[in-house]
Amino acid sequence: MPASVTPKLAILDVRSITKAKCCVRVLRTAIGPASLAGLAWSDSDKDWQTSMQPLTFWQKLYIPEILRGMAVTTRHFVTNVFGRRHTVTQQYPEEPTYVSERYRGRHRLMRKEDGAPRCTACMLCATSCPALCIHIQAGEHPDPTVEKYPTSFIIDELRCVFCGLCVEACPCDAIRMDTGVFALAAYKRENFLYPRNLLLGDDVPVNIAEGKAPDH
Amino acid sequence: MAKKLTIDGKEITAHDNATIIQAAHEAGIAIPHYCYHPKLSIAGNCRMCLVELEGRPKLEIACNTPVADNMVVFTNSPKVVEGRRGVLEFLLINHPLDCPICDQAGECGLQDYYMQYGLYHSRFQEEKVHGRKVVDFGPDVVFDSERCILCTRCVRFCKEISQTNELGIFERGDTAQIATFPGKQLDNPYAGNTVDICPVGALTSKDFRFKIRVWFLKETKSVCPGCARGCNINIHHHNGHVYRLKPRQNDAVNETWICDEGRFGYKAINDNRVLYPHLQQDGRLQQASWPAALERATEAIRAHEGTAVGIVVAPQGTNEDSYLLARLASEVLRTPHVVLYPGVPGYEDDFLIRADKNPNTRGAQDMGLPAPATAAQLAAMGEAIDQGTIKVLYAIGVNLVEAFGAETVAHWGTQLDCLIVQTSNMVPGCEQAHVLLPSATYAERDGTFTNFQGYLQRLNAAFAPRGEAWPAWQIYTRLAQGFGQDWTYASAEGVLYDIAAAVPAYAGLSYAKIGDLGCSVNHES
Repeated sequence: MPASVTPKLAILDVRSITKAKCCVRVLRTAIGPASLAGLAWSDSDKDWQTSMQPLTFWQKLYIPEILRGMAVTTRHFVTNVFGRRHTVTQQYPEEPTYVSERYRGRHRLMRKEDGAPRCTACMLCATSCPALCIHIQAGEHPDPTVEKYPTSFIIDELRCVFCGLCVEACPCDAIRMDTGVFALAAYKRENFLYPRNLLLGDDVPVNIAEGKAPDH
Repeated sequence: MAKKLTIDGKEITAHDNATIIQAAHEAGIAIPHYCYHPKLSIAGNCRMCLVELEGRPKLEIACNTPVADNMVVFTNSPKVVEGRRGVLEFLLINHPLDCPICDQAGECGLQDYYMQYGLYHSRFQEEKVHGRKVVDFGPDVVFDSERCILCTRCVRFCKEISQTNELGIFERGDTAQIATFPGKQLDNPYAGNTVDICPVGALTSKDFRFKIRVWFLKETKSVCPGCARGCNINIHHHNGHVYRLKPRQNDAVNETWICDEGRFGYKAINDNRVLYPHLQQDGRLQQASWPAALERATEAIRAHEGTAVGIVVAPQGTNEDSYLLARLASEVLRTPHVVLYPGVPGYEDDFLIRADKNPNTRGAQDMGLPAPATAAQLAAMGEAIDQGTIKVLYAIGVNLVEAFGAETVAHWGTQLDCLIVQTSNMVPGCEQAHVLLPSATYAERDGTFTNFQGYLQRLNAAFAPRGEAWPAWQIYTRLAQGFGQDWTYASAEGVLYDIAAAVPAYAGLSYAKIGDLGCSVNHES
């Protein structure tokens, strides 16, 4: 998959740069070069210097170029309205959106085979967390072979930056971010302090990641 | 006579009876070790301190090889590194590798040395020997035999330092384990030190277990305020919360040990604190601002002649506090009624623990406060309050109920015009106060204590005072300013400079000169 992604990204990159340059060029001709000096890349940029060409007569007529631009807009409008196949607009939230498998969504805690949380309260996730949003309290487990377990495990989802370092740090695969849940909502800030039970999957809202990958 | 030898190409002079490890440590060369401890006898069983000696075919252990003239030692040659790697492999054969749930992780000798000398890929295919987990050794110590490397530091500690002989090694071979002797518990007053000296996670403290991972903790050098000994400690804290105290080596005072009572004394910093000034209003204490509280206290004192003001203080404060209080009493309040309340003497032994449970009785007297009051003097003060000769009482860090009796103190709320109580914790009797002033605990402030031997040591502020508590010297300064004095102390060290100028035994001292290990203020005269 990465092989197909990379060239696409590369093309996108080139395109966006060209676009940005065109934008600047048009603006520059419209309101004069001096006032845009600060907007340009930099005065020493050779690319910018050489690409500055005087407008042709056809371009100076103005109306034909405007019509050309309108044609592009109209073409997109028509394909969006009549030919849904190429449309890029997603009808979220009426239609479920596509969430990639690697997408880092809301956390969940995993369970051992006996149903107990896998987490051993080693605090490596809390240690690696750059947002300091994981709050664990450890306690003495009655079973000496288990020894340590989290008496409380709270993730402050409002502080979380969804970087995934906690998942990487966990030596027990106890925490994952594969729920695909990205639209977290609550009426109070306190409700974003997700407790252990919620993270373990009791009373979890339905996973909305059921959509299909769009064509593009 | 001294011996001259070379360690890693460095010429070193060591004293006659030194071992290689001692000579190396003195020269600043670290040699990995588990069973060696500078304050315990040599056991030589962990084999981690292997070094190469020129002219000897086999590696020798540095902890038990005496130095000799012209000895050439290599502590990091390829042969030594290979040897240590082998030793670590053996030590870890039955190790459970449960670092994620082990409290020692982050300060573990096995982790530290494995980073340097580890094999990284285990060759051990067999089932590990399983031992006893979470074995209750005593009131504060939990044992895990799987993590134990049988270095016997704890056994030697109980034999040589606490001399209580609770621990021993039982069985043989891979089932050998540390255990308490039948019917015995590891409950001596110094038992917590076994946890400190355990180089692995075999002995852990029940009090500290699972509270926090050690890598979150910050260390601040301080002095234990538990008794007149003043053991050197490191305060381990995180976010303004103290999690544990660890002894800090100072051979002049406490070697490397502290008693358990001192070790758990940190709880007063976290719990049951007075964090804001309070004033007695509508029959109960209500939170107030510092200016309001100081004004009420100043007014009450102003309304009376100096002789109607009494001060009762416990020698818990630093020298800086005591010096300013002595000046406040004599220069500002002009009262003769100053009583140093010594508290109730406690348990004492011939090692570290002292009966005087105050850290600064000696220093308070050096600073000009009176000698500890006798029971008769205390009773006289109680009587003076009953008779109305003392109308304003300023109690500083004193448990009033313990000092004067619950019945006496119960009437003080009405008998006294003003009872000013300055304390860091809610103590019995403070609910009677008209003015309650919050003072900072020893962990939240700079200062110095003078122990019973006349040994001056420094406290360092681990974090800012919680709530609106102030260090006592700051309270005295603001009080004196309220009486029109031009005291301008901005830090505890500023007060020490004045002490150095005023008290002959402390002449010329500064925090830098006192240093981390303190200095004696006993001068031959």
